[in-house]
Amino acid sequence: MRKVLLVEDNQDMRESLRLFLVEDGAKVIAVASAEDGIDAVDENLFDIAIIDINLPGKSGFQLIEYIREEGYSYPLIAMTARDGIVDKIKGFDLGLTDYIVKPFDLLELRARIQVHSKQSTSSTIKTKRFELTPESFEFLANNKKVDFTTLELRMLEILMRNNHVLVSLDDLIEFAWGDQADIVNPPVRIHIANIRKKLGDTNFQIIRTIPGVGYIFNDPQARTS
Amino acid sequence: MTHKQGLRKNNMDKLISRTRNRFVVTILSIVVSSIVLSWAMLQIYSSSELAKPAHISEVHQSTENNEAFAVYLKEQNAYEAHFVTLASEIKQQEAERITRALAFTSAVVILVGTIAAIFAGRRLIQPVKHAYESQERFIQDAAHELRNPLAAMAAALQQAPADVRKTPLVKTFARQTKRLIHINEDLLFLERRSTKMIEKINISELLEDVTEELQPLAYKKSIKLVLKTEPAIEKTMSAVDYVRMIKNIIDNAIKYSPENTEVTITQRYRKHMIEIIVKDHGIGIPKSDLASIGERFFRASNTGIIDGTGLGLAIVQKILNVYGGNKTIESTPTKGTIVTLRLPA
Repeated sequence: MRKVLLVEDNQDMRESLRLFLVEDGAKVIAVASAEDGIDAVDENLFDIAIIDINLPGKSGFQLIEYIREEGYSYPLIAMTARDGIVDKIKGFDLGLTDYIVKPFDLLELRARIQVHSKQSTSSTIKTKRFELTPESFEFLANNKKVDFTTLELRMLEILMRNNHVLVSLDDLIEFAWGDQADIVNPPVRIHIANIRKKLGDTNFQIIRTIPGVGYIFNDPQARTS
Repeated sequence: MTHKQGLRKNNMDKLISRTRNRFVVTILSIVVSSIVLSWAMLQIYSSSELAKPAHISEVHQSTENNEAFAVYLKEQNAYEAHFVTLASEIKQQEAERITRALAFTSAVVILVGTIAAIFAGRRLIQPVKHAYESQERFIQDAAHELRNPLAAMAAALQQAPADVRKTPLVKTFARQTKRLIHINEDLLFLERRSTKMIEKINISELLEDVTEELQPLAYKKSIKLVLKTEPAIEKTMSAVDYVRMIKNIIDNAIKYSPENTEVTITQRYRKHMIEIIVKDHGIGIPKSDLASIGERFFRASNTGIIDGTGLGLAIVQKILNVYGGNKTIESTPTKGTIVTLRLPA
């Protein structure tokens, strides 16, 4: 069972998030301040921490700093109402793993937690309708095999591993083209168009375009057995 | 790709600097016209008085109370003509010297006046600038602060049990929460003041991306998005601004169009400008509303239950102002609307 530290001063927000994470099968320790967070960190070994930045007393940044100074390397996701670039740089310098701006969709939070915890040892990536096994170059849509080129499968791999989470164009290119990324100007849009065609994604809902930024793969989570 | 750090000036900054310039120009014109006036008066004086030859009788008049000087003048009577010539010459030279000194003084006065006017302008505008900045900061802070309770509301609604979520009351709350979030985010965008990375971007590709992003929305209403863009149009601007602007316009076109219609998006070069034309067959905008469209929180009278914040076009206008662009809206109610955006190429 995944053990999650949740630090959020808004009681309603804390309770909703706690319930959501518990329903997701996590053991949650929810506290209202960075000070209580520090106590919780001392007493428990967490798998992941979700921390609000704007807290009364010590800030979320100070808690993040504390966790890293204590030598814990588990993923830290910050929540904040401020999306200023300065805040981001400050957070990542301290050892922040990811960042989510309020208000957000709970599904996105869940997706980020899953991306960062990467607990599954199986390399097969499963969503509700699709299944990709990178080693055997096999892709199943509703349990039926679909043929993709190696490059398309690489693109699908990074997109599906980040289901519901934005994959930037740079990350996509680097993952799919590797060393060749600098040499050629990769025709990403053409490949995305081909993938969409093969997936039957006629209205661009499975792979959503975020203009100038990247793509998001969208398929409900696979039922956990 | 060329990167350039550009400081974005918003409308208020432009307005303030315009007011300051106007103030400096006004003060300067007052200074210059006073100088011209005094110069003219001095010229008249010097030409009428100083240019006249000296008269010995005037000197005699001034000796009435000076016995010794009167005696001296009498002794020198023989040289009177010589003195008059010399005195006239000195007078003439004096007149020229005054004119020269005046030119120098005027230059100094104009210089000092300019510096003083610029300085005073700065000082006078400062409180206005501060007032505006603090208002802007307040809106930013308030909108950021509102994100916290909005996040809690959204999370609680999403977390509610399925049967609760289906009740009309909760549905209303969910809808209005979404609306509040939307208004708040629009306000944040409208009031932001930031140093943005500005780069040369391929807006043809970006427009394709935006169309792809809005495809699901169009699909829901069976609206066909037709895109006609000249390939590889480049423009130096922030991609975020371009996307926001175009998305607002196309989103409106989809939102205010009936099902099974077409929205055409054209992007092309026209007379040193980039033209983006979005044409729909939607509900249109009543003539009486056209003038007010784009004002903050204004929504046309025929929008009815269609959701919107009334900030979309204000955002578009703000972005156009930043890049020196403009827009025109042609609309016929129940027939459709054509929005044309123009940006310097």
